[in-house]
Amino acid sequence: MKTINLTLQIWRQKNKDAPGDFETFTLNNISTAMSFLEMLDLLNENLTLQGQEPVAFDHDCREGVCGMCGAMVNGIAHGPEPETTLCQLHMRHFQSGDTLVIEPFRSRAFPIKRDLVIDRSALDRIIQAGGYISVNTGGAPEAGTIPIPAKTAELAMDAAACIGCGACVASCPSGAAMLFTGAKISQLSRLPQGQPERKERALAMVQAMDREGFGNCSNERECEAVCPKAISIRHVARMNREYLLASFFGE
Amino acid sequence: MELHAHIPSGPLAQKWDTHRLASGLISPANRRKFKIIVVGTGLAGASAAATLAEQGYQVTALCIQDSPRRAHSISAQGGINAAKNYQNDGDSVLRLFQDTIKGGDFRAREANVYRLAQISNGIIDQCVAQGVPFAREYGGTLANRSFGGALVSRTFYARGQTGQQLLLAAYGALSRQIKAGRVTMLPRREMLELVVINGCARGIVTRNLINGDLENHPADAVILATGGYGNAYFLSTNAMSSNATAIMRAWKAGAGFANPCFVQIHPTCIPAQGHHQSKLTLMSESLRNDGRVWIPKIFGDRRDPAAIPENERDYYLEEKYPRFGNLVPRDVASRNAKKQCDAGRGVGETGMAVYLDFCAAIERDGEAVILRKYGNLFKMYEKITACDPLQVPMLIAPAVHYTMGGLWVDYNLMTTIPGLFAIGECNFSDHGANRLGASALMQGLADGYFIIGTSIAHYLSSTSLDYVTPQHVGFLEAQKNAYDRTQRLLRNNSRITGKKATVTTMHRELGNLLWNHCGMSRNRAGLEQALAKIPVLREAFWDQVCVPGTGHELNQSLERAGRVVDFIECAGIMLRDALAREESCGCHLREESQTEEQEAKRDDDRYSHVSVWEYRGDEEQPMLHKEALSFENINPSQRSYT
Amino acid sequence: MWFVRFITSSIGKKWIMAVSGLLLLFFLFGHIAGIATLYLGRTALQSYAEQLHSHMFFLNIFRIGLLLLCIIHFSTGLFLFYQNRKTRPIPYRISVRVATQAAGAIPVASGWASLPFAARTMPYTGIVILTFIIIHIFGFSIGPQDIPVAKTVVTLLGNPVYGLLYIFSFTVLAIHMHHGIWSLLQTLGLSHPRYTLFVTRMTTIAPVFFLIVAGGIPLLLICGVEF
Repeated sequence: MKTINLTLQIWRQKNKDAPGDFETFTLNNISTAMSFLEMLDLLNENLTLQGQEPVAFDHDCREGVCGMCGAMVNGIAHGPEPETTLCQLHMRHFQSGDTLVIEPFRSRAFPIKRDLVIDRSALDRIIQAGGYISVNTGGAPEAGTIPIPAKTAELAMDAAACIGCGACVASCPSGAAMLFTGAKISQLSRLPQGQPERKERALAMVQAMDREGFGNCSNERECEAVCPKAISIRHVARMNREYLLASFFGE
Repeated sequence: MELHAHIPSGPLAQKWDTHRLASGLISPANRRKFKIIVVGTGLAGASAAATLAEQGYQVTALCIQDSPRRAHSISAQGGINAAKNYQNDGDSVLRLFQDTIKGGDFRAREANVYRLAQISNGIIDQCVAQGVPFAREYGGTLANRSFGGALVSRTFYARGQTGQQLLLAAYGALSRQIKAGRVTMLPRREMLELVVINGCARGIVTRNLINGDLENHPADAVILATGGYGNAYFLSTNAMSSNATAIMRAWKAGAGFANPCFVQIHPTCIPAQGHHQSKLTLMSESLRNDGRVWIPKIFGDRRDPAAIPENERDYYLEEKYPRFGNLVPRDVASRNAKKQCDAGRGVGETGMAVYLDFCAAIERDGEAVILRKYGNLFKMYEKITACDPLQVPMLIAPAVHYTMGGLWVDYNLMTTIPGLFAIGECNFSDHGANRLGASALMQGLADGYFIIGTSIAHYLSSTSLDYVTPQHVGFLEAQKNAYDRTQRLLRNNSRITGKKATVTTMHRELGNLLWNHCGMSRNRAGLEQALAKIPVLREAFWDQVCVPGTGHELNQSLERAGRVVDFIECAGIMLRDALAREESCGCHLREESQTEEQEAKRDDDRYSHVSVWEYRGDEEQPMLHKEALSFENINPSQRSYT
Repeated sequence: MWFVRFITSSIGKKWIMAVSGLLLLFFLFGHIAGIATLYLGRTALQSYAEQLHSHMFFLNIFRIGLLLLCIIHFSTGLFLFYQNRKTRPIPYRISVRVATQAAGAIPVASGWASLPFAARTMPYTGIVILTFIIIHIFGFSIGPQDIPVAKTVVTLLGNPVYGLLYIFSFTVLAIHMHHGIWSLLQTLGLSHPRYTLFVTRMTTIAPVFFLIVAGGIPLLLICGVEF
């Protein structure tokens, strides 16, 4: 099996308030079949055996769908492969001798908890503001009551594929969370079930997004370029439209 | 330990109605006086927390990840079953019930399974209303696909991300209640202790994973929705943080652990690539709808798969099971794959895989149709293996996927500890010895959305509970236990033990032990050998493993160490249970119990029961209790898919 | 008040940029159309200018409006620029831009876009344009009153230094507009796959058209063409 050797420069930070800095490691015999996180596992195993503290990083499903993992690899959120989360990035995409700079997702709204671990609860609060359809359990009509064109369901699904990893925020030159927010608003605005709360939702979610201290979109499209689920900025346009209509013509 | 299943009397179809009528209620205005803890925010946990909060209870929900949206339900790909019969192909509640009971090889309760089938339709209604973008036909109606083990199309799906969409909908419902102030959401918490006061579950002790604080959470009822213990095998399709700690704590506090040896091995996973492998990725078994499983007929044929002509390919599933073909249930597919690999007929670099070929389907339907159905799965496969399934057949191998066993619960989903409920994968209730595809999502949501509310109201209305504070002696003791355990785990933190052991190496060793002796195929000698190794492993763990850092900070090594200790203990019960069940059943083959054709042979005379294990102290062996199963509405037949 | 809440929101601020940008675009169109009369001869431009100046009242209102529009567009842009900078207190050690391709060339998720170069340089092209506008206003409007406008135009633009500055500024403006047109449609939520190709083409065609019409005058004058 092919192996490579790498130099890693990783952001280390003890806790939220401690100052952080880069630490350099050399890591040898990395199998190219490893995922990026398995490479970090290997590093951590070595560090543990040397009596040093391993690098803290978030991860869970390792299938690219939970949205828990993520870091900047040489300046790109989730690394250089398009439409790929960090856990699905494999080491065969790197060359022996490469230096990888690994930094946490940085945003004022994402405080660093330790090393590469960040707090993305701001995204949860955006959803809490209205990223749902208010239906109590048991109060639902028969599922087939409202036909939804296959195309509409597909378009809603495109937006619904968001995993909430925060890469869009991390790579946005303006630190905006509009792709994340736009995806949810767009999904629900397309579906008939989302109509009753459509205007309120757009107003509330945008307001919540602003409250968290995210930036203002400058339409530079970095977000969709790094999005592991290839969510299009058309959803941002749709959110803008929803918000304008709600602001000007809401009740 | 006494096992009262509390199954309502009367005809099967009326049991749930009868039960709801007989269950106590709490007035809407009074519900806010009760505090409920929900541990875990997967499909079961999130839906339960949201539903209970909607009903008016004060809910505290906890999850181990940074957000409730990340629970591992999110990885379920294929779909969710319901008896809607939209396809007019003869489906009904009764048929879903029968399929599930049969699929579970007659080791589940009739009443529970029937209720599940009844509720299944309501789940789809609920999810559609929540904005889940299920796949649709061109006319706008809901689309269905068929799934392994069923002869009707009853599976609803949202591309290959059904679990994600259902979870995000439940997460939305939960978020709405958080916003409304009725749910207190505490992410990045791990439950370390269950607090039992006067015989009732009264709260939990958690560790805040960010700062290491041990926190006491008193409540009137505790609901565990912490998923399965498949990660005991080290390599599984579970998420990295999925663990058995909550189950083990509940077990030690007096809850019965039912059928711990029932573990499902999923047939279509991406094979491990090497020693570094940290987890396995599942390819939805819906792939078997269009993919054909084969291996080369010639022993040791190392040719490129494309170079092997049709007549030299062994489509062993289609030949052996002409009725179901590639859609045989998971265990049959897994066992056959393992059998071929063990016989040295496997393919791929490690020889531990078989081909899943889409050639015929692409020829029949065209690439576009196949891509529409499986595009994201193909992409995922290509990302991991750098092979395109449109060109080269997929390599698949079996992997641990789901644990049917779990905490024993009665019809109310209450464990043997009053006030402690278990829902979703962490209970044992509905899948018997084997779970059908697309039924896990159904069960998690049935438990959370539609069952637990009735149970909670009944429990709270029929039990008188004193007020307890976080300073109650029960909490202080539990917290001390948690603290002591953490300190014990950290005792090797300052010195390198000299032996090359880390939490991971220990976990991997445990996993190999279970995979080799407590996997799809088991025998007495192997199980006894493995059981004897458990104490050795435990000893070695405490002796050799170094956990760096302290308990007062974010310490992922410490977290994992604690979980592995519990996995070791969990493995002990799994092995014991596997040893005691001397029959082939559901997901596993007991080598001593086979038919003449080398197929699984169930032994209803001796094992038509739920095995429930009771903890009796660290020095004592756990005790086996049996809940007999009776089948009044369906006749236990030997499963036959040939 | 709903409008205040709206314009202080992130999307509201973008909306101000979009709407003021759009109005400035309309003005530019009219202004260029006026200047383009020079191609018909010096007298045509002179009579256009005289015609325009005969409605001083409306012209002044228009001028004030235009000034306000410029101030709003510029100050909101500046405010957004600084606000956005604050969203990442610790910068990345390595920062790579990934959105590299223009529309249609590569399957970006949306399939429509402006050149990333234009998007990234918006604040800087904006400052260049502002500087140019100031120079431009001092050169023409607040210039010598007794000389006919057409003569001032020909003299100033015929000056190679001033003429080249003029061409340079219009190039910068074209880059600014290239992203600006696309961006304002995105901000106003006007995005539909059916019009993607049309919009993408217009974001290039319109600025280039302005550049040719406006830049052609000094270019021809410098080359010695008499009007």
